[in-house]
Amino acid sequence: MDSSLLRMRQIVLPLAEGDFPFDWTVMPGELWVVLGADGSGKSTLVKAMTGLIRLNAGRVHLLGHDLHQINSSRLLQLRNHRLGVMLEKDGLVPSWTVFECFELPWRYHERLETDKIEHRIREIMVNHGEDPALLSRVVATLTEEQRQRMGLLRALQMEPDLLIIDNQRAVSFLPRYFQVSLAKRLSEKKCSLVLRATPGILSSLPREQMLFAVMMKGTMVASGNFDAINSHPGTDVVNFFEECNLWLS
Amino acid sequence: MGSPGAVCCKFFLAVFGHFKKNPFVGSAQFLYMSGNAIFAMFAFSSGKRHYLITHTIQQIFFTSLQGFRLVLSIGMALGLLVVLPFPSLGFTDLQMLSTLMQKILFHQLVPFITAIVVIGRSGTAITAEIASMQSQQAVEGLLLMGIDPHHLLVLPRVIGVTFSMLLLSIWMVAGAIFGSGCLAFLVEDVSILQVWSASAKVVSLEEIALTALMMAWFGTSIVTIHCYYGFLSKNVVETSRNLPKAFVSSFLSCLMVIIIFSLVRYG
Repeated sequence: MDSSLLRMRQIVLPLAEGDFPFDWTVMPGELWVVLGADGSGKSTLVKAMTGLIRLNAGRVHLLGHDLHQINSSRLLQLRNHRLGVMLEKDGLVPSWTVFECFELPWRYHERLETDKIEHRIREIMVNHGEDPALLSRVVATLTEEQRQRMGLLRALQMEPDLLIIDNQRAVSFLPRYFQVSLAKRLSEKKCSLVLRATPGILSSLPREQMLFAVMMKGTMVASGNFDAINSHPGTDVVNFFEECNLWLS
Repeated sequence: MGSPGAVCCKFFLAVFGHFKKNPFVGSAQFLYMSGNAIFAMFAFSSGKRHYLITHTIQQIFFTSLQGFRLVLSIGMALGLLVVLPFPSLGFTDLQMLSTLMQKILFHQLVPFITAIVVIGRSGTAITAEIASMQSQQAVEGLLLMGIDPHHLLVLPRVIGVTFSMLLLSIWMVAGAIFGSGCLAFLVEDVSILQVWSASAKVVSLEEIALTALMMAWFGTSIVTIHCYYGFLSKNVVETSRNLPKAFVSSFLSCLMVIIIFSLVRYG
């Protein structure tokens, strides 16, 4: 039985330069860091993983379902129940309060009783070291950093099986939240994490646990652990790791 | 920059390409959004119902209650303007005044001006709000939370604005009768109640139903067009381009609808 959370086969992303299909599999408990220069296809990869864009070729199996065959309502259900995603922007509704943004998935899908929602949201805020007073603030009035943190918390709020963070600034807040429950869930193979790479993340998260995927010109040119990737002859990767090594040293 | 001829060629190609390519894609997207929003009416759960009711009430509050004074004032001004030429032309017939008000004001001007007010106030607000959500990837965020943005954002606004159009037109008509009554009282010593009863006599139930249908059509087309342009706007630049486009498109659609209804009435 296929236990992978994400399986991509012979994928060609829409922005790929040339026809270089690639495969990629994310298993439970894995922590993937996606590397690549600007425009290398990191965000496009995330959108392809979640079914937000159509691929030029290939198949994506997300949480056991083929995205080509799944109907739209089932895909919506799947995303809501088992997927936590933070895209490049915070993804919060600017004219709503933070509380309304957090409340939405639980209340809309009736996943939590109405009287328990407020308690649960406050619990999440306190557990992650956030001030519950932020809940009554309108999103548009928050600072950029507060918005990023709230966006990240919202991706975490449903305790997803697969957490995808395609946001460079939000990733820097992750170590703070990582201590709470994420590390435990990863070690128990209850979830997987896919991150956009930032140099700082390598020093603050368990590097031995990390796997790396290198994107270049819209295709994945290499994937594996740190040592395997570090020897890859791509210029962008070398530059990136030089920066990382500086940071680590 | 190339030669003027080349620049012209590029310009016409761009414009022609836009018109050649976009109507089909745009129409398909627009129809999908409208159909999907209508479908939401049949896919109910208590969670969805909560958001539908809350957002509909918010929309009605913003469109009809907050716009109440503006619409009433415009109605009064229209009523005054219609009656103003009467004394100078020598008309003293109250029946003629009420018939004229019915034909010009209630059938044509009140619905159309109400539509323009709603386009200016609510339509542009809808486009701007959805566009700001787009620029923060909040619409994609909804999709990733398993929520259809058309169900959450479009349907309550369609219902709210459609209902508000009916309310606003009633208030504008009331304002028009009051305005015309005031002037008639000052000039011809005719009471407002007389103007009201004369106006009521010339209005039939079929006329009211037809106007209500037209207002509902206005409301639906205004919201769907403005939502569509909101969803098209991915950043600030596109928002500033799409806002006037949405205004013009919904204005033209309302003009088309009123022409169709006028043809049905008088054609």
